[in-house]
Amino acid sequence: MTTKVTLTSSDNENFSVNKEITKRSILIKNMLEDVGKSDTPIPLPNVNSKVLRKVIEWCEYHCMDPLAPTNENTENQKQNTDIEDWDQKFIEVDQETLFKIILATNYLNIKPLLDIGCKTITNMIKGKSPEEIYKTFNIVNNFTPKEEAQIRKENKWAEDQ
Amino acid sequence: MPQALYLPPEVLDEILRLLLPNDKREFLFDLLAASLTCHRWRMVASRHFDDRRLKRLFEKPDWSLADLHRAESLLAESLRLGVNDGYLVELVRLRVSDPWFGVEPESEQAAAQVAAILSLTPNLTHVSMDLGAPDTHAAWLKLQAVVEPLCPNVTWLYVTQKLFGGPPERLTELVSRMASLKDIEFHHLNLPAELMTALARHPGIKYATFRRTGILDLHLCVSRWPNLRMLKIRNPIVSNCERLWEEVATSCPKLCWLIYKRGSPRGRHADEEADGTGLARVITRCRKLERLDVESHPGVGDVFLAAAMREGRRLMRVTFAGCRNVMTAPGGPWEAVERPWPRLEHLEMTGCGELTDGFVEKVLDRCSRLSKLVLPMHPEEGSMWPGMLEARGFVQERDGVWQREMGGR
Repeated sequence: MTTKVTLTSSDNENFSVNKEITKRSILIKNMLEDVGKSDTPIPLPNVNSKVLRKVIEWCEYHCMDPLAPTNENTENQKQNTDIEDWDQKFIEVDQETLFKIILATNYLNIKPLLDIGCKTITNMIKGKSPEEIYKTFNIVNNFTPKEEAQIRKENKWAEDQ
Repeated sequence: MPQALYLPPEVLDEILRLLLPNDKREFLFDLLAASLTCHRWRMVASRHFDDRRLKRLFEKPDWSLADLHRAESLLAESLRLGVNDGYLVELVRLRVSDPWFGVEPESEQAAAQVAAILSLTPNLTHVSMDLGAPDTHAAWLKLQAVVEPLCPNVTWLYVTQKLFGGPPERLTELVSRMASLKDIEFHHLNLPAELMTALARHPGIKYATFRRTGILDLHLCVSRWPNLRMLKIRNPIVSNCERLWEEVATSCPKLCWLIYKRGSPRGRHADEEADGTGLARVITRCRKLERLDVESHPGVGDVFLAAAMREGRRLMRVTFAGCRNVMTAPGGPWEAVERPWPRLEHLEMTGCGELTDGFVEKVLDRCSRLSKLVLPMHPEEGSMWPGMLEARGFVQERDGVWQREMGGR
């Protein structure tokens, strides 16, 4: 029985990973089920080797964690932006890598790691002014009163509640 | 490269959702700040704008000076960008109790900051004022100055004190400037004649609630409130209700709800000896009355009960609680009422005099819309009415509360 799976990054680097570990990713888990045999390399064209290495590192550390529930209903969940110590250290990367990890985990469908990335961004926003936020994330404030009037019209429900 | 701009919408949505505070009373500082960052973030953040949290300011107490400053900056930035989130604010809760927003030493600064915030909320119509303990005079003067510019737009006014006492200086002036008032609520205040006279100048008042208040002169303004729909009086400290009921009966033809909970006797109660004729006249004259709650009124008895049954043609909900003189003994005046309460849906009779099988049977026979009854938890020995209720499809949901499905109505 094969216990290893090969993942190929966008820059064509191969990673041989324990099959159980790859099941953290719903995308890979589904691909493996579809393919039926796991000796075929799985191409991941949206994830480069640097990011894939980080993602695999996270999956290996959390391989014993119970799998996250698939229930997507988060409406009633309390907002909690606390991050475990190991994860906190893990996610201490430059902003470009952080966003790439978020995009990769969203693509690979690894909900717990995506949550950590989202919480990290949320914590970076908290307590800041709009100016500090767009400086932090290098966003250009593209508001103009005319555009805004259009947004307000489109989102009129928010006022009518 | 501004990568934050290229996050998939569902990821950005999750990031912004995490900015919602767990406490629903908290202001949406972080979400508002994020929404003012760029066009795209605004669109996604808008989905999480909770009407309550943006429409109500200072819902949660203990704002620090930094919080006040941040709220002002955000609303000012929003105005500058043309978004005008301050236009969404409808209600403000102002407190002078104990610490003035938790920053008592810098209260001047806090008051100025609050005034600056309120200058950015032109649609504010609901004002709640907690005046705290009687020794907060200096803080009250600051609060009064903050509220003054809002007066013309105020439609809902709630005023409370921690301890019962007279109104603070200049409250009457503030009230007299609130020409749009529709809904008022006073707690723990003695309301003197001059304040009542000021309230009387607002004929648009539709809803009035007085809890633990001195309302000796309430009749002065009720006589000038032709649009009054609801009058709630709970635990009045000083009252002259017979005179009040006379005015209500004469001047408030649109009254739909009358709730009078007298509570335990405190102060001087002129209605101690009253026989309930004034209240009965309200039922006769206010033909739109749908709800009548009377609690602990010794003057309400058999004659009043019969009058309410006969004249309350639109009454849908009736409560007699702790009215020990309301009796339903055989041969009482209630027996002569042929068609009681044709619209009645909810009847509560607890802590009253004897409840007889004959009365319950009559109500069940004649009040076909009745779906809820609240009756004594422990029927007197030999009472048949619990069986009657069961036979008519009522189920005892909890002690003394009987309900039945009416279906299809």
